[in-house]
Formats: sequence, structure tokens, C-alpha cells
Amino acid sequence: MSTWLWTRSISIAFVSLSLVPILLKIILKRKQETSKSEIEKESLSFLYSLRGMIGLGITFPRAVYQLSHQRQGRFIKTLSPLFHSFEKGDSLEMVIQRFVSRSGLDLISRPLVLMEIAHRKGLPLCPILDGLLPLIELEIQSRERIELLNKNIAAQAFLSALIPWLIGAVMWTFQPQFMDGLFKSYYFWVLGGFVLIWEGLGIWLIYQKTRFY
Amino acid sequence: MAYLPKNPVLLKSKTQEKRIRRKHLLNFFELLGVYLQVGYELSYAWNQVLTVTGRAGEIFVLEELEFDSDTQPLSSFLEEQSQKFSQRSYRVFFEVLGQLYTEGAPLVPATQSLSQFLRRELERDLEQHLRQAPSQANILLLLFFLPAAFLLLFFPFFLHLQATLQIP
Repeated sequence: MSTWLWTRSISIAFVSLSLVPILLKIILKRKQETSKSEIEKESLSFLYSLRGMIGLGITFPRAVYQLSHQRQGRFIKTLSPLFHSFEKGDSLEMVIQRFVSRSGLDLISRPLVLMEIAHRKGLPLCPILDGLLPLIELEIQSRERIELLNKNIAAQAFLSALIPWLIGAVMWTFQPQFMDGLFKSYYFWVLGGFVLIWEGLGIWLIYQKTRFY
Repeated sequence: MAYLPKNPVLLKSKTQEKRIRRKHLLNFFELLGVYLQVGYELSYAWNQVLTVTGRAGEIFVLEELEFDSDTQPLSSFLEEQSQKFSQRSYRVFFEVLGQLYTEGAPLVPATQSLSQFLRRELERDLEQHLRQAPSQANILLLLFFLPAAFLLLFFPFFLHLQATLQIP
């Protein structure tokens, strides 16, 4: 609406309107990823507690069950509903498999699966956790650092992408004779489309270059 | 169609694939060390670890390290991997394990040092990635955003000039 009021062009208003769902989708995905990474950070304290309890001689199913009944943290909130079926008689294997398929938390799923299998085979769990915990910690730390790096780069890319459009808008407001020629010609669509595609390609390449895995 | 990547949108580079492979190999040796510590025989432990890691979704390890213990002894498989393993720098792991296995020497310290080496390498790689990524991203920013900015800024002037001078 504001675009239409500003430009008086239905086509520009239509293009900007079609960008709204894409933007919303990006924001939603970003929020989900942030929440997922927060939960994974919390899961580290869960694993350390698990290590402590197993070290004290508490069995793996009992330790997981007890920890899932704590009332703090989003990770526990994700885990605890699944343990209702454990109380009804489902095996721990089934509960963990359900957690893996529903949560989408790769970082914590792998150690839980490994621990459950190791427990079933009668292997000592403390050495497994001692080997896995530094790795998970390193991975969380690396994700945090890459996330921070990505935020900085995203801010730079956003500003770089915004500046020409901003200057164009300022020019159009104060010196419309320069911009009128562009808006009236089909070059505007060709140029605008090319720039958007080129910048999109740049963003994708930066994303590819900065990701670790 | 076999040459097409499984997920073309999230295409992974060779470096990223190498990192995933290393991570899976690290988990493999960590778990193998635990099995050996308990007293399992290497050949049996090897297959057990493959089953466990495969179920945990670590497919890269499964691809190359799977062997049939009924048709091929582990020592010859290790020898084969010491010459064929996709990452040359890790071939020595299999050679060392093969030698120790044939000699009947204890394998736990070897697997522990292999996983320690892989962990150190992962840390070094991460540090290097974090050092290099900002400069690489800046080059890409310059390449993809600066020309676009200039194009958007100067094209209206060019059009205006063309109209003023009445160039066809």
C-alpha cells in the first residue's frame, strides 16, 4: 500500500507485495534456527548432568528419565512429553527414536542414539560421553562463532545492497528528472531484475563460503 | 543421473564434504576405541561401530569402511584401505591399524591417538576457516554488490544524458 502511494505504480506495488511472504518465510526460518541453536546449547548441560549421574552409578534410562522431569529449560520441555509413553511401557529406544524424528536436533540426537545403543550392548557409557562431550562443545562453540561471523557479513551485505536503492530513492525525490527516464523505459525492469539476481547470487555464494559444514 | 548431487540447492563443496567425512571418521574412531577398551575384537568391533554410526546417520563412514568379515579378513581390508581410502592423508591410519592388528599389539592407544589427531585437525581447520571467511566474504561483497551499486547509480544518468543529447 505504502509502495503504491509512494510510486503510484501498480506493478511496483505488486512486486513489493509479492516479496512480503518471502521475507516472512526468511524471518520465520531464522527464528526457528535461533530457537534450535538455543535448545542445543541447553542440551549440553543436559549431557553434562547425564555424565555426572552415570558416573555416580545411576543407569542410563533412569538418568534420562529423571533429567527429563526437571522443570527448567526448553530442551527438557522438548524431551519430557515423549517420556509419557516411556511411563506407559515403551522402550527407551522407541522414545529416543521418536525424539530424533520429531525434534530435528541433530547435535544432541546422535549422542543420545549412540548412548542408547551402547547401553543396550552393555558398554561403559562414561568413556563414550567423555569422548563425545568435547566434540559437541567444540561444535556448539564453532557454530556460535560462525553465526557471529555470518551476522556481521549479513549486516555488511544488507547495507551494500540497500545503499544504491536508497540513493536512487533520494535522487527520485529531489531530482525526479533523472529517474523518470529510467522508470518509463523497460530498462528499469531489466536492470532491477539483473541487480536483484546478481545480489542474490552474491548472498548465496557468501553463505556457501562462510558455512563450515 | 547418478552424477547429480542429492540436494542441488544446498550443494556442498569438496572441502565441506571432506569436513563431514572427517567428523564421521572421528566419531568412528572414538567409538571403536570404547569397544576395544571393553575387550571386543577389532573385526567384530569394527562392524558393530559401523552399525551404530550408520543408525546415527553417519553415512559417509559406512560407504568406505564397510567390509564383509565372512569373505575378507580385516587385515587385508585395512591393507586395501591404506592404499585406496579417499583421503590420502588418512590412509596411514589404516596402515598403522593393520600392522598393529597383524602383530597382535594393543590397539586402544592407537585409536585414541588417531581420534586425538582428528580432533586437533578439526580445531585447526575451524580456526583457519574463521580467519579466512571474513576476507573471502569481503571479496565476494565487492564483486557482487559494488558493480550492482554502480550500475543502479549511473544508469539513470546515462539515460538522462542520452535523452538530453538525443542520441538514438
